[in-house]
Amino acid sequence: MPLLELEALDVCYGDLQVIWALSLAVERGTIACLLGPNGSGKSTIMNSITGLVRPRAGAIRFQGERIDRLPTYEIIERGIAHVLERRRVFPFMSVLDNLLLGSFPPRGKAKRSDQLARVFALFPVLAQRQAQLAGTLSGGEQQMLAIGRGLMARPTLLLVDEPFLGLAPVVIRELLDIFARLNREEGMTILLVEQNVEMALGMSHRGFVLESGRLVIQGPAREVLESVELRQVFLGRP
Amino acid sequence: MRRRVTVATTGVAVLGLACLGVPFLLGNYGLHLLVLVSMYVALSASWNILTLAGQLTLGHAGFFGVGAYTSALLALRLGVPFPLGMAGGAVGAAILAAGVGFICLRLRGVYLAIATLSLVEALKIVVLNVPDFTEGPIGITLSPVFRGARLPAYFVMLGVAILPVLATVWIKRSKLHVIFGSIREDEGAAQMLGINTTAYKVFAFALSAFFAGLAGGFYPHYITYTVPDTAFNIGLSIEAQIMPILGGLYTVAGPVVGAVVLTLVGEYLRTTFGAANLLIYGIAMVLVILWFPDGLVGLGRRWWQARVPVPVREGVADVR
Repeated sequence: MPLLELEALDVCYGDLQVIWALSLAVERGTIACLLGPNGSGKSTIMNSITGLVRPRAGAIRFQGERIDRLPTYEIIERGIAHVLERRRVFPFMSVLDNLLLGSFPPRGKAKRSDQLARVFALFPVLAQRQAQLAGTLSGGEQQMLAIGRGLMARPTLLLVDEPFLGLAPVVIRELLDIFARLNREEGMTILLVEQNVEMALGMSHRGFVLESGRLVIQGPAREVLESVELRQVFLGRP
Repeated sequence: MRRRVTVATTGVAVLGLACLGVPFLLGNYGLHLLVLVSMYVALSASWNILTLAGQLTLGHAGFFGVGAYTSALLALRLGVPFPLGMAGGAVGAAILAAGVGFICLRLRGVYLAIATLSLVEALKIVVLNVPDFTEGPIGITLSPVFRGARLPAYFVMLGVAILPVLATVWIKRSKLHVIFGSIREDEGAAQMLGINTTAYKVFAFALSAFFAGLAGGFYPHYITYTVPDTAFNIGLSIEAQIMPILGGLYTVAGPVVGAVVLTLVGEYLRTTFGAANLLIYGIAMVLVILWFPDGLVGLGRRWWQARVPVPVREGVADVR
């Protein structure tokens, strides 16, 4: 049974349908990436998983149970953390308060101090800056904080929306390493949205490619990377 | 840090003694002013509670008015004594606010302010149009509490004013502080962390309106009547907003300082300059907001820190 399963999903904003009969599955313990040009519906899919957008038809299953009618806070409580696009840290709160808010769901609260130590081990810079206001961190540090905040809930599935946007190459490499470690050491399942196709497929087990709200390619990352269709989606058809 | 705490404790002690002692030295006029000051502290501190949760509203006159009419009608129709009437007014306002909060869940910023402002007018029109029940524009006349003695009335209103201030202290010391802060700074991100933002926003609405309704519940008993125009007076909404902004948003002392200063300055201008008083009041307000965007409390804090340089770890909400 896949950890996360989307089945025949239709999502609309008002009368405008943006996702068409989309089905995909993410297996436990894998890293998967969602690719596609701008406006192809990547973030919409992420947002429907955590209930920010409600699908018009279809089903979303997490650990075999339907979650598409649950309120967001219950979805989070079941073990999904969603690191939103553009980091969205609380700028006027300290780094520590940002992290502690991440352990708001009961599943995170129980092991709060263990998890905090774990996040500080993954991102030592956050430990150094814990008393500082989050808004004064650099872009890369804010992204680390956003990911660390997501990890505080001890999620089974980590959704990350465009984590590398606007970051320095050295920071990107550091984050790539962190995702690999989380997957390897804790068996964490990760689904991420990314614009950099080569990098995303390089770090993932599986790739899903969207075009105008439809899933057009899926398969093992290496195969997707080498496929002709991938070039057609991003560069146009001859 | 320690020094700051000592200063704060001394300040509160002096203020407390003044609140309890000074009234005995005052005549009726002075006492009436203190009742008004306390009422505005209640409104301004309770409005500030909603702002802590990021909800910019202009509905406080509505919550005040519902408190006033609930309490007045309970006394008129059922002969309920005023303390029970006040409780009824507070609960009525809280229930209304919870409903309003739920309906307005998706409204942000200025749209929420407009929606809550229209609530005040809507309530007034309802009260005006069911005269069989509310006595309509004629209003409700009540017998004076404490046989018209001002001193006990002042102590009741003082209690009403202290409650929302204590509630603010409680919020700031509990986990609500960061939860409200997260909703204020980025509601979407707060939701993504598993916070039931709906529940907390509705709670903030109900709590805030409870205190406004309590003040409203006592006011008609104090002035012995209530009419729709004074109970649902949009001016009260505006004052409840301006006072905390002038005093210092998101702080405990800000709404108190703002309410005390503006009520007394307003009264001084009214008695000294006659018709021109609102003009001067308005200009002073604009200047203060331009020059001291973090309010009188922020100004005082900066002055104090410049004089006594102590390393301070700022609280979450105080730094904006």
